[in-house]
Amino acid sequence: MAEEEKAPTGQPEEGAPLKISRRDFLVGAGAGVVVTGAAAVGYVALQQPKIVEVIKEVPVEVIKEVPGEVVTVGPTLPAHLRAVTLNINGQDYSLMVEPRWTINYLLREKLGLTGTKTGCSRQMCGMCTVLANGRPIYSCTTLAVDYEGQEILTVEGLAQNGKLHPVQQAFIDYNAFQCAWCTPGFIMSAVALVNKNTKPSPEDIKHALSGNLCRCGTYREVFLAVQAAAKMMA
Amino acid sequence: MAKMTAQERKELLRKYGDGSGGFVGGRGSFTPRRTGAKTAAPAVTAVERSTAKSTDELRLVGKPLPVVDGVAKVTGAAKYANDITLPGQLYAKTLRSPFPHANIVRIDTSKAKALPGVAAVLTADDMPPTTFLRPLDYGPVLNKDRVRLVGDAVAVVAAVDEDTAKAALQLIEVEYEPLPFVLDEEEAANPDAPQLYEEGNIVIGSGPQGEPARISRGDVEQGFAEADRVYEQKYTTSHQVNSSPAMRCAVCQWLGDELTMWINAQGTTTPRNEVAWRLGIPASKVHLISQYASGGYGSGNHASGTNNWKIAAAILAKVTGKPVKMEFTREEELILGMGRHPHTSYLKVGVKNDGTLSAIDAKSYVNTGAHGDYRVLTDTMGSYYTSSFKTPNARFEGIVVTTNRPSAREMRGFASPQAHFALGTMMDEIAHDLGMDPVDFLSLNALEGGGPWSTVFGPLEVSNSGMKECLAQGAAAFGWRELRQKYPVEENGKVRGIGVAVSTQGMVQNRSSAVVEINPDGTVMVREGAGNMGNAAHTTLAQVVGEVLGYINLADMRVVFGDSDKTPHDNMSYGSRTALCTGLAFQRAAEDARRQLLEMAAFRLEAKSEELDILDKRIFVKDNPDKGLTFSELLGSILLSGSDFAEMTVVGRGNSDLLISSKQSVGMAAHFIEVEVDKITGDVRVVRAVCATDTGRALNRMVVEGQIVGSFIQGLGYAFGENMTVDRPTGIPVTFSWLDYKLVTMPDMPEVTPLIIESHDPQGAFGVKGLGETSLSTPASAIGNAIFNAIGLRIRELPFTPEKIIAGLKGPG
Repeated sequence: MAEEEKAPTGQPEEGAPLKISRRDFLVGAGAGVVVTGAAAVGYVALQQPKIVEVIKEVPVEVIKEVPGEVVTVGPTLPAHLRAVTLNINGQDYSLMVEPRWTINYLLREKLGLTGTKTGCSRQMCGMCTVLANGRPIYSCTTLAVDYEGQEILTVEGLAQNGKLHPVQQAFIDYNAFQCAWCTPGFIMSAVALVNKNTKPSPEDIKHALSGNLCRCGTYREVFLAVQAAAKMMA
Repeated sequence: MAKMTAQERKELLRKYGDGSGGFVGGRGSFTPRRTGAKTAAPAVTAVERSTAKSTDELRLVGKPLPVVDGVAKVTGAAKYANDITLPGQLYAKTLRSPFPHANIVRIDTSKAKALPGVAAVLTADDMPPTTFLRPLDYGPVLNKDRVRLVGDAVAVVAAVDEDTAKAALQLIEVEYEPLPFVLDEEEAANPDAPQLYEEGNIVIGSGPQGEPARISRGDVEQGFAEADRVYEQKYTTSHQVNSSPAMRCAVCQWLGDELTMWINAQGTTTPRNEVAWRLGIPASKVHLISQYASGGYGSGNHASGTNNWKIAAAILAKVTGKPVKMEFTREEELILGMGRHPHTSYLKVGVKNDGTLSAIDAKSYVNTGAHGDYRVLTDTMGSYYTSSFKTPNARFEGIVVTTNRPSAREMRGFASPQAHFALGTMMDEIAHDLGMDPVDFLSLNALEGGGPWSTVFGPLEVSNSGMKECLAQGAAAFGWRELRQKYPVEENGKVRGIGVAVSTQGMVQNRSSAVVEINPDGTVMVREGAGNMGNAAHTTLAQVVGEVLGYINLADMRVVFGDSDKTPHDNMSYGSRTALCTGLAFQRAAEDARRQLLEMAAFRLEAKSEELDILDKRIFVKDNPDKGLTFSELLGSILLSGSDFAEMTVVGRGNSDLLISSKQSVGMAAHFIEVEVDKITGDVRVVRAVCATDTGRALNRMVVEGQIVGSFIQGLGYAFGENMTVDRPTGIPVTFSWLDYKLVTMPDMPEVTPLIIESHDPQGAFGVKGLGETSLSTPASAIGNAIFNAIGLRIRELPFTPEKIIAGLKGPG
């Protein structure tokens, strides 16, 4: 498992020293400092996670031989894989996954469903938003194995028979995107909202979308689109 | 209706005919021969004609049409570089310096190379020599002897998966000798400061002997002597970074000696040329694909970032013989994706008692970080300081300094946000001191059409100005005059105030090419090489083409974009140039195609070209509309077998080169902002904003409104939470996630009214002048002015923080 130093919270003021005295380290380092990836001290931003090997005892299956009896050997799962069944966009996927795979990783890297995007890998931006049993989740920090049997809905699963979902159509009608990297995330959050509330107040809309970042600054158009989509679906 | 003369018909036949009676049966594409007089810049006439038209008279231009790539974007079908996975692909990671400044003594990659699954580990010696143009640029692809910022690249690894690549990084040993470092621009300009480069910290300027950028107009000393009041202040701006939504990503694949690169870029052929040059290979051997790009806001211009990382990806692919995908982490994207130069300015302004400006003098220190150069920025900054307001006397000197901070280079606005924070705040200070309404003061000194746009290379003339209209209409929409009587207003410890500021944005003017192909069935291929990172160039350019060619349905046009093999050259979508420069090229290309169509039709309809018009793929005689031909009828030909077979495609070409224009198109904006200041917490909330923006002509109202609001939001970020902060004792950037580098969020959104002002700039197609950046430079000073109105506190240093508000309210001592 990767260990990461906690980043300082809030916006630190320039001038306030961090807890570990790197200055002493650097000043006292002398003429040369050998730094390997594992020993690189304290630059949290670019530090590679430490690799800690966990060696477990692998259970050994003892096969008792009884003369004349048929012995069944296996099947056994590879130690590092788990079986999971997810219903993704209406289709059942029974898969072997590593327990550490996030839903985002599974979708993008294993199933070719790249409509769901990545932004930060730490629940900060919502670009990875998908719906799990109708609830919006950050797929970047949810493990596939934890969602056994759930219905996952991604942006690719919205249009039916070539017809766009009202939210998708509204986004086009109101020009609610620019570069559109954040757009699938917004659309999924919006779908979750209008599915449970077809008469959202402006505060409801802002709250439902508060977990989605847009760097291009399309919030105004997104708001108008979601308002219109809700009316369409009411 | 006059019939064509025999002479004219002969002329047409000579030019186009094959003598067989149906000249349209000619094989191959229909290329007009240039005959000098005939092709003498008809586009000038077209521009004059198109500039005058009110948008109501136009069919496509100005209409709020949905963008052409909308379905791909809302269904998740659009593929960005980050979404590409090729068979056998390797994953690349970069080993980066943990120190802000250090010598590299030794690098040992042997253990990393030996790790199973690692395909290559490369260091500086493996990189081509042309990657490092001058001491700064984006920095060397990989550093050999020295690192100059935390994150500077030292080695790259390509491996079968990301985990193996990360593990390999762990196994690379680097011996560093840490050096003293410097972070501030004024400190770094001092010869005693730690020096980053042999040439010193001060970047060679654009003066003939390398002196700093200097601009001078009139006589500032005389201007100050004539002034009734002189004001001097120091202003400081913060370090906004591009912070692209998708992380920087390139997928590189070589087939033989030809490279294909998928990347998030703001153009196609220009980044392609740059990649080829840096790799030392022919441009004809590089294929750059960037059909859907995440927002670059300048950093996608050459699709670069610190260390011009994409070159490392390309070399890894070459060395391993496999496709290589290199994707930044969010931390790398924030720190190394380039940004906006922090700067310190000393501004001195002289004014007469009647409010007219008599002199402006500015001296700026620009902080480019460890790499990035960028004297171009400082040169440009000089134009903003000296030319954004009407004054006969102005002077600028700008020094660019290197420091061990994350590098700055191109970010939306490019010198305008910095200059306009200083100017916008200063103008408000002066108006207040004179007892004048700032709107009147700004209007009195507003930049006018025909006014000077001074540059380091000589004076240009401002093409036109909508500044006064921005101020007047913006004030009316905001209710400025009425609120001035009432504000500031306090209630429950919260104070509301209002402020106004203006800004200017000089459009980058250089070359564009355009190709328009009209297929025999009347559908059109619009081949454009502009970027597609949210700017909607594909749609607005198609609207220009369609307007000229009489189309009523955008669906008849297919825009081909984002592929350097498929599009003519364009100079990237940056500097708000696309609508202006590329739009003009496409207007000309469409005019070229139109002329060919009319000449062909003239022959068939026995009329003169001037007597014909086009509407919805049909050419007809103006005075006798029943007489006409559809495009299919015109462009089809009858084969000997007697069957209809349409085989004509009309190709229209156009170029624009506003680089040689003596006029400068200048975008303008006036923002009116209402804030609410919490005197207890120091929190500032922007309640309401009216953003009046002169865009010359709105090619697409919905797109234009989106650009105004989007750039305004980035201006909000500049004012408040976006500041790349570096820990002073260690030189380590600490704002490396969106937790600390705070973008504006949905709950932060004020009520924003984009107000489009159309001043009809004579330079651009249909009067357009572009607007991608214009409204980014206005909010910061407008907000500061509103804070002053609310609580009487003048903040001359970005960003606005609760700490500054509270400290200011407490007062000194």
